[in-house]
Amino acid sequence: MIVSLVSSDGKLYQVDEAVARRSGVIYTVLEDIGNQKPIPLLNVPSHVLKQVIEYCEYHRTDPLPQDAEWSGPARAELVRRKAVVSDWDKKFIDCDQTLLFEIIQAASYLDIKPLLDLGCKTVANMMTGKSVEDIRALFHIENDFTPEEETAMQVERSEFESLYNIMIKSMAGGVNAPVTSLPIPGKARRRLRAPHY
Amino acid sequence: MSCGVLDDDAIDYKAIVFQRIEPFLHDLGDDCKKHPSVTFVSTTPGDIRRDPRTKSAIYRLSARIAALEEAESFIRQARLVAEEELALLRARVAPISACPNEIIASILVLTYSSALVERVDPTKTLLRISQVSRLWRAVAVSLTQLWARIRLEWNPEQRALWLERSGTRPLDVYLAVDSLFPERWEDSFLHFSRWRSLSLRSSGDLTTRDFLRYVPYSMDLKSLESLKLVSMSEVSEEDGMIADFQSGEHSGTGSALRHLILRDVQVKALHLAVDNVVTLRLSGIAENDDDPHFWACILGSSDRLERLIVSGLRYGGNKGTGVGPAIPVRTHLRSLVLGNDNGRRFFRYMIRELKAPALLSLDICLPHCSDRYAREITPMLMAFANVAHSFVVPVVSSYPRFDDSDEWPRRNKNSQRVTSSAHQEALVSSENIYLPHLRYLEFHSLFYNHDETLVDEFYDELLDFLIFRSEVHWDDVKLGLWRLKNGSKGLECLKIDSHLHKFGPFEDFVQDLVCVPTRPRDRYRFHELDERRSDADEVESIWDDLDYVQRTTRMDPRRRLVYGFVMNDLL
Repeated sequence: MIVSLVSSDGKLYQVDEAVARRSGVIYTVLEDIGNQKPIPLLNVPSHVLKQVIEYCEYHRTDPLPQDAEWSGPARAELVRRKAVVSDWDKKFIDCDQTLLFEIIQAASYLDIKPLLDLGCKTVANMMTGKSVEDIRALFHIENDFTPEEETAMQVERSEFESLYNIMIKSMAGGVNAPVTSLPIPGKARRRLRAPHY
Repeated sequence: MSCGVLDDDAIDYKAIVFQRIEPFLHDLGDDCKKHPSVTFVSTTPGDIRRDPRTKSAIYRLSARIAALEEAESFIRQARLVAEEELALLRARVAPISACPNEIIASILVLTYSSALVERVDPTKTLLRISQVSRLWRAVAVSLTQLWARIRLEWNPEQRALWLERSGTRPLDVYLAVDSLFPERWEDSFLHFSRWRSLSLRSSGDLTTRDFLRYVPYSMDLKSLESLKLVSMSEVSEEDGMIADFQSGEHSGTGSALRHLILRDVQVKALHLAVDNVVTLRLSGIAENDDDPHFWACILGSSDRLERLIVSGLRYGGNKGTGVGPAIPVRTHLRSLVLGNDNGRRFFRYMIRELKAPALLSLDICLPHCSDRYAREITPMLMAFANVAHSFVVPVVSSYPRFDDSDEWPRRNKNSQRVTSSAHQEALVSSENIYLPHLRYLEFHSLFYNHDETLVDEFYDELLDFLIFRSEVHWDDVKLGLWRLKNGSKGLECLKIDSHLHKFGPFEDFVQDLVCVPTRPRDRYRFHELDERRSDADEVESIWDDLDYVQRTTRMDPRRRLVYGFVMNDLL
């Protein structure tokens, strides 16, 4: 069965129903209204819809995330496990920022959770290890804090970082010391001799 | 215009002044024609200094400089304003500005969870992402799950901030200190009912008794699901033992406790604490931790137990038959890990008595197995393996140095994971014991050089995880790296552990290439190599090999994330 999708700029795309059903929104439309008319996707322009269809085509055989599975801690766990992005997905999502965020928004609008997670994860990865200023520059985000707020936040950060450094220093010599260096009572130590071969 | 006649010792000040000032005179208009450097010639500097026209020229030049500086300052300001405007315009049309708050929230949560998984300062990351803009801050502050992880050693203001922002969400509480002063945590005590997990590490002089005395069990911890106690302090046999983990002041421990991890925390009895526990992980927990009665007590009272991990029995003896009370059938037990064979009495007892019909995973590690012990244990293991193997499920085998080494994997064709120590080349090179489902292969303590059959081409197609641990010969590691470039499937994870000293100064390189956990304990080993200059040649050749591998493999550093999920995926 073929499903017709119309992008926001009026272009018609025809896809397999199995591919279209990867989208929660289209799935619901097909269930409720049927497949008689083309489905208008008012928030998805054609160049983004093309990408989304490509993604759904590639993942058409993947199991559909069930509601129960994709909620709460179970979902968080799944997301954690999916921390490693496949090569194909990585190549797919390797695009300029504008398209990346358009895909994310389309995935959100069309309710395609794996694609949404992939996009968000990619953005999250871009931020890993970056400072506040770097993140602002990366995404062209305006620093709209007042100077007073900025100063207060810097203090908050530096206070924590000094505390953190103290903790790390104390842990380096203590908690993470090798187990074998532990002082063990004599009686017990005798029992801990290396076993014979 | 005149020109004085100069004797040999006189200095031509006109020439000096003219040379230096001339380039700047062009913009001074007609005045420059009256400039002393042009009209006045003197052989003494005093004449120039006294001449009013020279001073006038200097004033004019100064005024000109001031005007230019003012103009520059104005232009710079204009540029700053333009840059700010541009940034504002960019921000307004930035792709991320069109994202609704829900998407921003997803991104923030994933950034934080990535930091947690990768252990790259999650709290610092949280502070950073919450300080990018007002919108991000509002979104981050509204996400209570980001603020539910608290360390008690933080200062009170920071704790209060986290407690406030976490709302009513269950808390994960951590503490690692030398000494405990509970009065400093009063604000946190108010939230006992929200504590979901508690992880305590002591690195100071506290005895176990002190340690546990300060654990606030007497309070209402009815939501506590996970408890982890790690004490690295000296244990005194007279003073350090806790008679009963759950008695007396600890009796308030909530019945919600599902996961109990005790490491180097000395207790005499555990049975009351584990009646609802589904995950029990124990090491170095008792003076008599290889006593069958001790374990019969634990296993007899924990009828909901699903995962039991026992490793590092500190005081285990090698003698004794391990005769003890019968253990009731553990119908929920699905995963059993018995590591470190210090306690052979315990091991014999467990293997003989434990009945677990639903067992999916059996992981046995006997790194110090003698030949005689192997001969004794092997038949018992086989009997036990049959029980597990009667289900069509993967069986995990941690394989010791048995003489009849191919017997165990031959009987467990469904093995997905094999851990091998000592000389086990037959395990992976012999077609007879080919394991069609093998995904995870781990080598321990391979003290000598193997040939290229170590990881046979069969397994290139199958393996997702290849782990080298503890004194593995470098040639084997190289082989693993070379396999990466040829593997049609490609490994998910290559991890090289406990012989990082081999890499010496190449820490960064190795971090990028392979899956190495960033543990402080591993780091300080790097210093060892610096003093061993004799390894220079070896280091040189390692560097060449690594360089080649880096250029030719498609290993992605991010894949090191996988390691944390290896066990969960397989079990």
